[in-house]
Amino acid sequence: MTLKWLKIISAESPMPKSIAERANLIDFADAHHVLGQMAVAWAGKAKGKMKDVLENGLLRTEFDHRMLQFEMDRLERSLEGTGVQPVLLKGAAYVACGTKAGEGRRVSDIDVLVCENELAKVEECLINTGWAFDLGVDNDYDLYYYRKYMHELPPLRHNKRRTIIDVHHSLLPRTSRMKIRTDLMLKASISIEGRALRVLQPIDMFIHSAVHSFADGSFDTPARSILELHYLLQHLNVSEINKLIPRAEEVGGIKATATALWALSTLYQDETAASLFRQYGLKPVSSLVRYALTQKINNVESATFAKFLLFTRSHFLRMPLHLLLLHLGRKFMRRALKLIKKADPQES
Amino acid sequence: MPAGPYSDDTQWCADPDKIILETLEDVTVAFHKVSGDTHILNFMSAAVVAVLSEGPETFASATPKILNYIQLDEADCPDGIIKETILQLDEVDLIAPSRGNQ
Amino acid sequence: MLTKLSTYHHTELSEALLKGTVEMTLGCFSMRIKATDPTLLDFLYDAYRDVPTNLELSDVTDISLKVHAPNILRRYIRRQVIADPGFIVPAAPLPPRLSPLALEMGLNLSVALKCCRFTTFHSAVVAKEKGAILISAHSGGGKSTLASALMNDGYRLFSDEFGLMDMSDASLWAHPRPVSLKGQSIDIVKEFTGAEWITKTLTGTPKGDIAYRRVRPSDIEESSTPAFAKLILFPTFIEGASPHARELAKAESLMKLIPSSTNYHLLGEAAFKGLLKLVKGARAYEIVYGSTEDSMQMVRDLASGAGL
Repeated sequence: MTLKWLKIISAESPMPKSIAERANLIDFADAHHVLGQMAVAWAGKAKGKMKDVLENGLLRTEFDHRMLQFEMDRLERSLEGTGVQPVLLKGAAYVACGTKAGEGRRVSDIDVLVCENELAKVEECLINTGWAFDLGVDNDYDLYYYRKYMHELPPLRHNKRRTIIDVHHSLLPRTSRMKIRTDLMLKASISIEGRALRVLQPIDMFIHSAVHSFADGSFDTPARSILELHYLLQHLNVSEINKLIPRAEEVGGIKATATALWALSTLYQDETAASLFRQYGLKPVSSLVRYALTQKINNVESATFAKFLLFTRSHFLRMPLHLLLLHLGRKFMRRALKLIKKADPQES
Repeated sequence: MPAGPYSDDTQWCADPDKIILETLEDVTVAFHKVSGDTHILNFMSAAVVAVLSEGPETFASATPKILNYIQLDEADCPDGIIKETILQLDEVDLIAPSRGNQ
Repeated sequence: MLTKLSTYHHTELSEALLKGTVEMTLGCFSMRIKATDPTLLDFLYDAYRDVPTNLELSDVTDISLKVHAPNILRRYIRRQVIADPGFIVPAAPLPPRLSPLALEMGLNLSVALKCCRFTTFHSAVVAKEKGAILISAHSGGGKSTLASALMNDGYRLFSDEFGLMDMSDASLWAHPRPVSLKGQSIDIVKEFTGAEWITKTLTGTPKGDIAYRRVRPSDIEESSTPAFAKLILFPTFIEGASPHARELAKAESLMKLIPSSTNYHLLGEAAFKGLLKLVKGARAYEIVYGSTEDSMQMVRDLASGAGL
């Protein structure tokens, strides 16, 4: 049931006739943070109470976009005169360059990418203008973990506004098994008109979204990720589509891109994705992981085993095994044990 | 805390499109349309915003105009308070460096 | 379409609750409830007796709330319930006998955090022919007791929890859910309304004793008529204090109302413009009082001074 709902959310399928189903669909969209996107897709077509409810979602995303604009202003102000032009990533990028993937999309933290040699300067400017390392990262081990193994400074939170900026210098951790050519993607980045900020070029945006969803993340927001990939793919023109797979090979993101195209063709029935998948004879990720992904999108609440699988997997990809065990041992073993117990009722 | 770099040559100005100013029983209220923050301006801040809405000024060029607006002499005005007010207003983006200057 | 909840039989209401198709309309918001625990039924028959209810959804609803066990285990062993308004609620699970509390809390959170059609303030609102009184205070600030007393003084209840302001003209809209009473207020209010209007007291809740004043039929009937605020009050209850009031400048009341809103910042410019109209059209006072009688006298004086 939820698979067909994605198409309704994007207004590519009609609203269910049953009111109860409509009500459940709204609850689903809201829980998966895509109500605003649904509101945009159905703008002008929804009436009465449905319109009121969709409006709630839209107002929240409009607020997010205003906050984003303010944060971008503040970021530019902070870096004035340095010549550094950070590349916006993910939601912030989609909203800032006005692409379909950004319409009605919720945005909270800003993720930016800078060259490694600009990192110190950016850190200095931000610290001088009211940002500080987020207190959530509140012990030396976490700070050490972030700097050494992750792909970003610890997140920075503004002391007055409480908003967060994540500054990355690479799209994946140094210790990751997958090597992404961040340098190539940075080089091909394009400037946002009227701003001292940049975004990735459209095909790199798709590849990064695929990497983020399937190689880096644990697919926590499946509905949102699928819609995002669909809109990003839709945005590519014919020549860009022809360059997508070669580029994914070039930057080292082919596995994630293949999985993304698989997900789009099977879970969303996206024609473009399906034909690309066939055309290049791509291989998706292992069947166990495919099972987990499908479980997640079908029924997020009860997919605890799937969640555990994806959680370990994403960490598996980020760190070499011995480091992973050490890290898991220290931070996540209790949580991992809880998940195992939950998945097996006899254990309780 | 400053919102970014500045110098004595920085030209500051207020952008009337970003702010809504309203007077409620002789208190000035400023609403920033992008940040969504609502501010009460004391007489000094209100004067700074009013003067800088008319055109960009540096710290030095703004001072006599502001003093004139609030009808005080330089002697009556604590040292550095105008500069401090400008920087605080910069922090909440009620004023900003004039972009034409960059 | 305007069938009262009380007309439904136990079995059919119970089935609809399990399916999640109980639809109630109160003023400007409609609600859809799903509940797996039967203890909620008694409460609904009591506190929501006269509320227009359907057992099949006639439309999508503004609010969608589930009251259920936090996980499969807790459905059967050492049973618990939580409120699930579609987002995570940072509150401890409750024993099933307190499911009415979970319901009320969940509905409050839904109004506070989900509904953006109005600018929402933590306040009680009551109104007469000529206009409304907005009583601004956080939970436990005495606004429910004050609102109840005013209900007995010829005012109709808009809400004891939320002021709902239309941003285009600053009109206030009604959503008259049961008035929540805590601790001493329960007996105080029972005295002047009559015990038959108050539900059974829930004891041993995280906030002590709680009871609810049933939704009044007259409030339901008039719940689609808005009103304009003529008086804004910021009350403080101090045991034994002598009553006094201080009038606030409009800018002061603006700045006090902003942090009391759950969505002012989110709504931005429209909320600012609406709020300006609200404060311009009303007189505002901080009041300190030590007893309900004192506060009532003061409020009557201030209300007549404000043209109510």
